[in-house]
Amino acid sequence: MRPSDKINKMLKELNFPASSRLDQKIALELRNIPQKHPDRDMQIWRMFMNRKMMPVSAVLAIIMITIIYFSFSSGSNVAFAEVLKAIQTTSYRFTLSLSYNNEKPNIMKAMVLEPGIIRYDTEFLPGLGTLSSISNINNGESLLLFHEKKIAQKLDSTMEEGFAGTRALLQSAITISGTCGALKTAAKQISAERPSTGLKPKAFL
Amino acid sequence: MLQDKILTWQYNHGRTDVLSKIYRHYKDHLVTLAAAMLMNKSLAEDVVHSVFARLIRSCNSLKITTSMRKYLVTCVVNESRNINKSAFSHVQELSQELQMNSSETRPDKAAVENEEKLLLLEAMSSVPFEQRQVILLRHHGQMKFREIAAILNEPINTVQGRYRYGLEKLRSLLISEKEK
Repeated sequence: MRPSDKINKMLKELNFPASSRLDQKIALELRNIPQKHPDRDMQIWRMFMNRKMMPVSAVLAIIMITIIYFSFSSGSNVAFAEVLKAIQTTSYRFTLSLSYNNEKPNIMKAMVLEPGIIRYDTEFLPGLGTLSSISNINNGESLLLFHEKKIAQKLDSTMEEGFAGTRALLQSAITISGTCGALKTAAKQISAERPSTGLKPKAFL
Repeated sequence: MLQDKILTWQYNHGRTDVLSKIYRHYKDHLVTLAAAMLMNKSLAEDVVHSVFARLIRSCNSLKITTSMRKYLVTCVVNESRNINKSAFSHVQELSQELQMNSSETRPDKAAVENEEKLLLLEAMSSVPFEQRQVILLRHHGQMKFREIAAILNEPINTVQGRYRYGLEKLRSLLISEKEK
C-alpha cells in the first residue's frame, strides 16, 4: 500500500463520536424549537388572497380608465379634452403595470384598436393562460377571451351617471373575478372527468 | 445521498420533527471533522453545538438550497476557522478517544492501529490549518476540489495547491517519524 493510500484510509476511518454532553445540549435546543409565528398562516392566507384579488385589481384598473374617460368626456378642461381627442382619434399601444404590496407586478399590454375600443392582454392568473379583454367604452360592452381554455364571455355594463354608474362597474369587476375563480375550479373538474367519460369539455360560463 | 435530499426537503418544508434525525445522522461526521481540524474535541463539540443550535433556531425561516450535508460541513468549516486562533491542540486527548473507539477486536492489531493514528494526528497537528482543512474535507469528507473551493470561497488552484503541499508535508512527517 502506498503511503498516500494509507493516509487516505486512516483519515477516512477517523471517528470521534459525539459525546452524551453534546447530545444533551442538542436535546435541550430541540425542546425550545421556535413555534411557527401565529400570524404565519394568516400571512399565507393574505398572500393567497392577493393573488386571487389580482383579477379584481386588473379589472378595476380597466374600469378606472373607463371611469376617467366618461367623467371627463363632458370636457370642462381644455387640456384634458385635447388628450381625450387624441385618444378618440388615434390608435396607440401602452403597457400597464399593476403591483400590490411590492409583489412582482402584473404587466398588461393595452392597445387602442380604433377610437373607443381598447384591448388588454395579460397573464395575471396562473394556470389560466393569456386573458384578452376587448372593451368598447362607447357602449360599455366588453368581451373576455380566455385563450388557453378557448372560452369567451361577453359583458354588458350599461353606463349610468355618477355613483350608480361606478357601482355598476365595480359590480361587473366582481363578476369578472368570480368568473375567473369559477373558471379555474371548473376547468380542473372538467379535466378530471375527461378520461372517464370521454366527453369534450364544454364552456360552463 | 437520497436520504440527504429527503432531509433537506423535509427541513425546507418546516418539518421540525426532522431536526433530531438530522442531528443523529450527521453528528459523528461533523464532530470528527471539526476535531481533526481543531485538534481539540471539546472545541469541536462546541462548534457542532453552535451550528445545530443555529439550524434549530432558524428552522422556520431558513431555506437550504444546497444539500443538508454540504450546508452543515460549510458551517462547521467556517465556525472552526473562526475559533482556530484560540484553539489549543489536544492531540493526546484525541488519541485516547481513538483508543476507546477502535474497531479492531484483536488487542495487538488495535495497538498498532492506534499507534499509527496517533502518529497521523501528531503529524496533522504540524500541518498548517488551511492545508489540514483541505486534506480532511478531501479524504474524510469525500468532497471534490470544486466543492471544497466553493465551501472555502477560494480558487480551485489554491485549494489543490494547499492539498498537495499539505499531503507532502504529512507524508514527510510520517516517514521521518517511522525512521526514528
